[in-house]
Amino acid sequence: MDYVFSKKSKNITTRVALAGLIIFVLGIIFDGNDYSSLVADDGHNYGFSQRIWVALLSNGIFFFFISLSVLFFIALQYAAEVSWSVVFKRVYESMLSALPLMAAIIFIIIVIGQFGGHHIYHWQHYDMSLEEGMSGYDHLLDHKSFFFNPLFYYPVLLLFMGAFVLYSWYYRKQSLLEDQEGGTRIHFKNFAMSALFLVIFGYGSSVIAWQLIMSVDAHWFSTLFGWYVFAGMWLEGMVYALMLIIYLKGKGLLKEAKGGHIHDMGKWVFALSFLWTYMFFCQFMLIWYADIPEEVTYFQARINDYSVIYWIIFFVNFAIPMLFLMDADAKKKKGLLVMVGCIIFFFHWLDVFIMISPGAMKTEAGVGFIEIGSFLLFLGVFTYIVLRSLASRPLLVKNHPYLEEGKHIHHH
Amino acid sequence: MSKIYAMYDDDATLLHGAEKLVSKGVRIKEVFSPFPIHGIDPVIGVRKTRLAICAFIYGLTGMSLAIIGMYYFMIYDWPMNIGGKPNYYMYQNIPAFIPITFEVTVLCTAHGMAITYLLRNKTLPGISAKNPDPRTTDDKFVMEINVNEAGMEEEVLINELKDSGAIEINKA
Repeated sequence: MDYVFSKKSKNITTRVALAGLIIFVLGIIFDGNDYSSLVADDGHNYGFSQRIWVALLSNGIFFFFISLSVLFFIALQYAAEVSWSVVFKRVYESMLSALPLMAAIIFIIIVIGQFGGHHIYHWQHYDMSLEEGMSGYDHLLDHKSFFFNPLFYYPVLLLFMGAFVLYSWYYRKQSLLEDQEGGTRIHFKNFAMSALFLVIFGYGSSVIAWQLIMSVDAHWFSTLFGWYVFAGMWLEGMVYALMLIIYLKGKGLLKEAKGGHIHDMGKWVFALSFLWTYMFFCQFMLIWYADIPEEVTYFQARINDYSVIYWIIFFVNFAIPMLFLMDADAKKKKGLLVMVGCIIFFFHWLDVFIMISPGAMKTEAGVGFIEIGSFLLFLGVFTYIVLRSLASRPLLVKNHPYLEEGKHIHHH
Repeated sequence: MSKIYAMYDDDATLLHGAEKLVSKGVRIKEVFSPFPIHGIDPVIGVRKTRLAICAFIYGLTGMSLAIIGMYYFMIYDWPMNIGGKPNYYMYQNIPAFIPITFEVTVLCTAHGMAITYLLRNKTLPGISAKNPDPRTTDDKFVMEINVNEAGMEEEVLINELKDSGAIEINKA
């Protein structure tokens, strides 16, 4: 049986998006904060519009990551020749359909900053021709001038984003083709293409994390940052996919996924929470121990000004999955998975937000109407696109060579 | 007490045979196999392992040992000045102690579990193996049944076993 994007579901997702839009606009209208500390080098105070751009950018990046991590997951399943996840392949593919839109939103926001629309990326407004000793010279930015040169930055960003978008189209197209054609030709072609993708993604995920997020704190260095972002994005993708799968199971669909499959998705959520915590702590501990001025800036901005929110993110994303999902039976209980999933989904959104906002907003950032509204807006739009794409094709792949094996996995 | 050992040369045959025998009320005492047979535990009524509880206790022991040890060495007995890090209170230095705590926890858990497993199976070095047939360590599978627990006559049971695909039946 296939999924039908009913009128009711359409209404709900549209209303979530509209409610988000209204809260977002209300937040803009009634924003009473004064952003006097946000004066840029050129004397211009971007404060108010800055907050709007930060909200849009962090949501764009968060939902882009969900699609991107699922793209990576599909490639990983091919390269590792996994059978259990085949019954969910269409669910993952539906999540790819929002990737081009989110990539476009991020790219447009960055280009707007280049032309002076906002001041999120400090390096965009730094004159790279300044020499040592001149006023306004910044040693660290000068040191990174090769990376921040628009002639390097934009082609690399476009290259990786383009590769991701092309791959998302590729997998979606091949999947339908395999349904018609059968045989193993497409499967082995996908296998080879997935191995290539993992190489591209290995570089691309780190470079994109530096370009999109680390460069907000333009003076900062962290080699581990790409992996930290990657661990978070993978978890976000798995949580969203799991929520979608439980929703479909609730509708009586995906009958092929019997217990063991949900359990496996639960294991991913559990394990990746630990990976994320591990990355968080590795990055923090090394920088804390070495105490080098160029490295501590990121943590100073967060621990000094946002200490409560910052540690809550860490402890919630670590302790909630650990305490609730440790037991094998807990990973099979749909209600518990939904509860834990929703909590860590929100707190990982907060994690992405806190990666970006203190660098762009100094001490003026916060979670208010603008942030919550834009989150709901993006969530509604993203889910609408995903569900529409899910309804547009059969819910189960037909001729995947591992389909039979994947239906019959056993767990105890 | 007489026992019957039925030997199979395929794990799937043994599994299906066991399912059939159990449905007829036979209690299978033990299965010997060179590798874990997927899905045999619920059929022959193996209880859920309690190794996880042991693991938790060993982990807790390791964690406490590491924390108490580091507190004593690094804070209490002789505060260590490493790179100018604060060393007067435990909580100021806790990030530096977490990797070691983690390692000692894993060390204690892993060793404790391995030793418990070997003890429970009576397979510590030097203990001779209690195995009905050495071929079960290679490519054969043996099912052990107590005749008085079988719930049927010995001849009937032997016939049943032969029907289920046993290639060899021994008594002991």
